[in-house]
Amino acid sequence: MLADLSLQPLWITLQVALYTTLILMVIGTPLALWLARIKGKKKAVFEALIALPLVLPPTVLGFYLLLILSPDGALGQVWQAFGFAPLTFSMTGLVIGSVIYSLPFAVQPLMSGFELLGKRPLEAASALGAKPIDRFFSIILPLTRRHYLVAFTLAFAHTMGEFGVILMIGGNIPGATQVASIAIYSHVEAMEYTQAHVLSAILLVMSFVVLSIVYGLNRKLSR
Amino acid sequence: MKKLVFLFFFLISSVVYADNGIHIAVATNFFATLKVLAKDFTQQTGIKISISNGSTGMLYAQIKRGAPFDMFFAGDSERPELLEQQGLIEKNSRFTYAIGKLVVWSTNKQLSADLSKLDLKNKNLLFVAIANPKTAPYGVAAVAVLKHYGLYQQLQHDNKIAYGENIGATFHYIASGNAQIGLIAKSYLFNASSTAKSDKIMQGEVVEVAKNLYPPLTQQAVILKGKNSAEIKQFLQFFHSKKIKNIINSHGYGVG
Repeated sequence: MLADLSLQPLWITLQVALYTTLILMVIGTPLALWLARIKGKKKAVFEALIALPLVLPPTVLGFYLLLILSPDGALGQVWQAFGFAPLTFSMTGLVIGSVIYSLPFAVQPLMSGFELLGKRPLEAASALGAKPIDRFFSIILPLTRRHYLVAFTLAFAHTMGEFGVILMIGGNIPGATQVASIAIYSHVEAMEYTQAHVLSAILLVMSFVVLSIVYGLNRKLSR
Repeated sequence: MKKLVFLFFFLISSVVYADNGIHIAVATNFFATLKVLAKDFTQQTGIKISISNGSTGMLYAQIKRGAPFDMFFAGDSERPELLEQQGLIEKNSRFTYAIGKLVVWSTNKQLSADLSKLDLKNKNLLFVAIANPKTAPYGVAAVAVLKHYGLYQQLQHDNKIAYGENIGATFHYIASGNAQIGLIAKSYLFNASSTAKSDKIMQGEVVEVAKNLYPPLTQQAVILKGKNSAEIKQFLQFFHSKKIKNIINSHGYGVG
């Protein structure tokens, strides 16, 4: 019954979700800090820009990424000029696609956290002689810890369940770019329902465990 | 931080696509059949076959952008022809591997799968499921058949046609009872009869549609440019045998 069941898609999913979330935390922080500081029309325009991945259907977003990242595409050409392997149909491509796809889920909670924090704690620290990096790790990060948690879990969960973008730019290649959601879909297409159910159950339990650990960690940290 | 970055790149480089064996992109409607054939081939020769399934249109777009497939089993003949015109396949590698057959499948006892007897006013008829004619050749065939029986305009007017994204989705519309009747690939019913859903199929009524009522569902395969190899030759030799033709036939396809 379970002859054709491979667990590798779960491992690939976990890797994509983890890399994507870590990258989003790193690039989302300065972006959100900047967005929290600007005002007026400029802010509205950039906030809208960040939210755009929410508007496009994933397969459509995936299609445009396929065009841009392909060896003939704008980004793909530059990338390969540096001698790197092609971006499409690779783990790197999946992570780039997922970063764009999940960007609003990471940036928006962080931005609202930084807005709530305001300028005053930072000005005080600055007056006491704290350097920017120091200010970030000793003031911003601890005070916006909950917002980081929300950003992390949303970006992670959103990437775990990603489908359309990854199907387009990944090419559904078993062992390389076939993530769990796509493997489940393929099992359904081949009418291997048992395999589909087992994989779905493991995906749910795995996501539940990871999210529980993250929430648990937050409780510990807030004590 | 440096350690983290290093770890990150180490991990990201650890998943490298193992480039051995044959890699085939296949249209979803032939996916289950190809899986069976591939298993047989690997048992005989030890050569691994990795299969990526998807819609013909999507796979075509991916191949044009350098997807690492060796062969493409399309759901139509149009996309392989286009690839040939663009010089993206090995010379003379295009061949017809299967001809799709359309069936009407009704899961509701009150609704006849013989379309000449179907009463559109029957209260049990909520939805007729067909594949989307814009993306699936089986959808084009289904529309032609509905038109032939003079059902299409009325159904469309009443918003009673549910369009499946592909033939698989169309199958699931009917199998789940959301659509009471529909036109799908015969091959899909064959695959279903070997799974848990078979009870439902047995209850339902299936009528094969006469071939002359719809444009032929010719499915072609190609070897992609620069991907010919001894393994592929071996696979094609295996594929063109009488035994394989019988298997494809028994899975609900005509053989060219």
